[in-house]
Amino acid sequence: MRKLSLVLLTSVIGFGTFAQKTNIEFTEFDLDNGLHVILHKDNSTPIVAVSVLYHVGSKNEDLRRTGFAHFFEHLLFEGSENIGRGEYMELVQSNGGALNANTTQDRTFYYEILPSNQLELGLWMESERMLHAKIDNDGVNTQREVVKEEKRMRVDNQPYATFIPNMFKYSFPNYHYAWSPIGSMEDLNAAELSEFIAFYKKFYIPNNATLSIAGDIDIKETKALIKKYFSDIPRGTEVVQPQDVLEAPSEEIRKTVYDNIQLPGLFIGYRMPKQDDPDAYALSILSTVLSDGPSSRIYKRMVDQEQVALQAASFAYSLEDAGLFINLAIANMGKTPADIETIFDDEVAKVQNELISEKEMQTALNKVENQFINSNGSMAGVAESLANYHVYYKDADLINNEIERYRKVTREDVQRVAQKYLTKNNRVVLEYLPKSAENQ
Amino acid sequence: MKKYTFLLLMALVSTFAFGQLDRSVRPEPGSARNPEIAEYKEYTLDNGLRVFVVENDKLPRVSMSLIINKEPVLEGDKAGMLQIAGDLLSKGTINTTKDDLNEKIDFMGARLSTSSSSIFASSLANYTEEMMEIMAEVAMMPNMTQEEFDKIKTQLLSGLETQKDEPNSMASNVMGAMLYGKDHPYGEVLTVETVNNITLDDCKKYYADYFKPNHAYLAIVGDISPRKAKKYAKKYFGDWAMGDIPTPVYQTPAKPANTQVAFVNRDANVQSVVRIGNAIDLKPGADDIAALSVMNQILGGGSMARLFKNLREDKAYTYGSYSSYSSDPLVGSFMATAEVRNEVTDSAITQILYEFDRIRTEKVSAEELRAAKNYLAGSFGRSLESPQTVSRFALNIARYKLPKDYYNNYLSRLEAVTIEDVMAAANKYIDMDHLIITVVGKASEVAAPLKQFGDFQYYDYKADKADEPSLPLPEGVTAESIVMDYLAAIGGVEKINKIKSISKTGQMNAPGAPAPLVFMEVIKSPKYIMEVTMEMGGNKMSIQKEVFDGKTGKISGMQQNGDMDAAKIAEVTEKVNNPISEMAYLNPESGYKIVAKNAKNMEGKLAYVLEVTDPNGEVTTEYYSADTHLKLAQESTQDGGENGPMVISMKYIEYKEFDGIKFPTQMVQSVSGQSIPMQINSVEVNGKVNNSVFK
Repeated sequence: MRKLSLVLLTSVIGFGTFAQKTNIEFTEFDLDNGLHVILHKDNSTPIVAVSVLYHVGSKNEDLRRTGFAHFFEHLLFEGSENIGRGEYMELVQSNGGALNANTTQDRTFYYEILPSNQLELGLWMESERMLHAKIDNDGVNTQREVVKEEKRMRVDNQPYATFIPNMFKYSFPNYHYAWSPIGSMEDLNAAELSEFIAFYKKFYIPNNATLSIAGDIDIKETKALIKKYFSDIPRGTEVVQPQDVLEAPSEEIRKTVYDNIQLPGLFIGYRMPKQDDPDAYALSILSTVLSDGPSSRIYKRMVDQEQVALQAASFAYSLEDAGLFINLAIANMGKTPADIETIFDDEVAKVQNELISEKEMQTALNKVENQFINSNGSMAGVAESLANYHVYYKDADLINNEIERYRKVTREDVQRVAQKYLTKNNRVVLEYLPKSAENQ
Repeated sequence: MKKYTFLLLMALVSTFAFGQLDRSVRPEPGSARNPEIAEYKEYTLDNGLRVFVVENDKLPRVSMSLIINKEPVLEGDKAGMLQIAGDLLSKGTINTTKDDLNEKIDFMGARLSTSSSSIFASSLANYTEEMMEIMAEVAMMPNMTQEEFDKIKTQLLSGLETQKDEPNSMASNVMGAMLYGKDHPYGEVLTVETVNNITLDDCKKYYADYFKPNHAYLAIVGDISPRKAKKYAKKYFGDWAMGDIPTPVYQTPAKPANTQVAFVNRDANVQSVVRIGNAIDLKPGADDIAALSVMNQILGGGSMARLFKNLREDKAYTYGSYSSYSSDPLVGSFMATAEVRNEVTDSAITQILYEFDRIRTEKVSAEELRAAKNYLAGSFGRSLESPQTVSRFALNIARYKLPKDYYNNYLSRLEAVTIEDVMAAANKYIDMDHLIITVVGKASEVAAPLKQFGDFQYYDYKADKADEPSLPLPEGVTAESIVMDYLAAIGGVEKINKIKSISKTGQMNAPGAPAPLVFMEVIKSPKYIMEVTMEMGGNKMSIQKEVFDGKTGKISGMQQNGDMDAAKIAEVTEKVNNPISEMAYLNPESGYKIVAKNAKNMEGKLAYVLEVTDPNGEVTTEYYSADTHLKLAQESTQDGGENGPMVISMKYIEYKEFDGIKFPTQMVQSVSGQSIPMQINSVEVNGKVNNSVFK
């Protein structure tokens, strides 16, 4: 059971962060080449998180070359003109640091957490990656295999794990969210080295990047070091983000997927507005009311009282240009997707027809607040939030006051967005059935 | 002059702008600041509850954990009881219903989770007292009801249903059982059967036996002063009554005699889950833990370690390969893991074993040692970012009776580890000759070569021994193709159709018989004779004789005398019409039905399984070699009267060609497990057959 929750959780990307009582102070500025820099000082532990966010995700990919953005998340650890192959990770770790990266539909994020006396090392390494990363056939071939293994492990070998790619495929046809960051192995195989180099030159430029640093630093020294390592990186051609127009769906889409599973699952996705739309905040509150915590409506009814589902959740999968409000549940033994759907539909109808209670509204806000305070518990979390807020909302200070956007949501808003977005014509329903049921 | 100045200036500017930074020079670290471990306060309440407080006001939040300090519990045929008991704790108290409890906690935006040996709560600082009150209520007066018990049990059973098919759960079950034994608390496997054995009373008894304040620790971390924390602890936990708890003793698991390969089949796998390791004796606080941690770091501690570099960066077998160890007062473990694509499963194991061997027999380099120490020191520093870490340290010091300054001295112990210490730790804790290799994978593609690594055995997900799994049939293999290939292999349909007569002689060694049984069989359409004889003291005795003239027949011998009945006549007629009986399978009018079932490994050979239903509805399962296409075996189940069903099987061990057609010449017949070897000495096809034979 625990394993299963993990699978579902890892498929879910967090919603963003904010805080109430904490005051995260920060300094920000642009270098001449367009690199945006955000610095947060916190000397309580002698560590520093150095991160770079590139505003490139799977949505920026050529339709015939899906998986490129995520592939770069691997490729750009291969080294640079001054860092040998395979040395990148080793340099960080052998100096007591940790590093990682992740890719979404909208952006790619790299970070190192170092002992604070190694700040300069981190800046040098990130500047090497931005200026002249090593992109050659050796690296491309190795990382191709690694990414294939990642896909096998995270998607192909995991029960239900294809629901996210499937949901996006059917929800956003002919749109830049139709495919997922993991992309297509065929596309990666077909790509020439020159295409990888072109992608790097197009997107990995200072004017498409945000350098966000949080931890045990001295602001003045850090600024000087940033200038030292980043100011000579040439500006690139401005990146134009995709401008596709989202087609309004005309009818419900239903699909059955046969997977290596024992228990059926049901996944319902409703198209949502983009993440900075006030309606997205109302939908997020709604998802909390429906399924966050044991007293939430869906959980209480479906898992606890009627025991139709082993696990149930709803969450707002919010992205820069659009999103999905997803209701999902894994059936208990002997229960069917239809049993689950009946309850989901019934609960959706309730929030459409009646206001949620004052108490539910307050509970949801308290949960949101708790979550946001906790997300500022690590330097890496603070660095990432600051960068996200700057890039997506052009306002890094949301790290301190995004909660106000949630507080503006009224119970009437919650009812209105339920009526507006949680409609049959606006949804994709994926039924996951065991493979053994396929030929029956 | 002006010109020169200008050029000079240009040169200066360009030096300044572009030449200043030599990027090939790697930055040197600044002076290091050692992380400070925050102080904690410790109190003991009158009822023996030990309270630890770590104050940290960086964020307005507080978390609390209550830990029961006990020996592991052996659940036996009730595996899963601890999990249910742990879940039940959060489902309401004597004073507060489950729904009210959930609402209260949710309203605060707080979290509460329970297990069989812990309760964890976290909230924003302004709700600290309310949370502590709830936590104490849950710990001291849970209301375990049948209704909630039944719900949790149903969920657990559904969860098991999904785990049945989840490769990592399968691997965990089998690895645990192999390392510690299924009769050890660490090796028990939850199954539907064990969960169904659990009762509500078992859970209540467990709670009553173990939840005692004098065997518990309460750690409070966050934005709260020690004074206040102590006050709340006293107020809410002060009335909890003391008591003794059970102290079971466990045998140390025995090592396997040789390295064991435990294979769990999962046909859907595109990757194999590989785990290799052994149980170790490593108590928390042991002297060589620092050396082992450095060894583990170099071997498989992350992406700069040898396993990762070898299996991922160099060979691209996997997304990652790592090693780990655990210390434990009872028994710990050392283990390496990888999820590798099917076709390189054996190569990946070879490489992991190579790295095991290398770190045991070759000195690590000074650079590796330095890097590993830096990495571990860095991890330690990063871990201190979380205030939870300090409470974990405090709890470990208390539970395992470590020196008070154990963690303050961590970095100096780490720094003292030498190259020799690393090798000694590798030799002590990696037991090359007694490893457990667990693989969850697609048997048909990956199992065969794994036998080289040790004693090979299939297991199911419950860690019970399993039979060799059946495999899917390759594309294009059908019932008809199996039979056609067989007929072609023994000589071809054309030759078979030309058969007019067959004469065979042979013998068998029946158990208990004083001499071999000799038999002869002649088929010449429409006539048939078969006789079994035995020589005793120079006399030839007829044991059984069957004669058929095309219409009627007689049976005579020691057991039976008389005319053939209709069924026997039909059987013999069939034999006469189709001396190569498989010819009839393809004739739609014969009444035979054939179905290709699957493929199977039979003693290392791939075989196709054909189910043959004869015109009387009797079913025989036949096995045909995928390689030679010859029939390897067949078996059927017959009614054995009061002895129950009898399995009759025939293995075809050797074929020889006679007059252009292959016949089995060595067989073993087995009836209900008793084997009778048979051999054919001569076969003559279309030879001269005198009609006087059929008498």
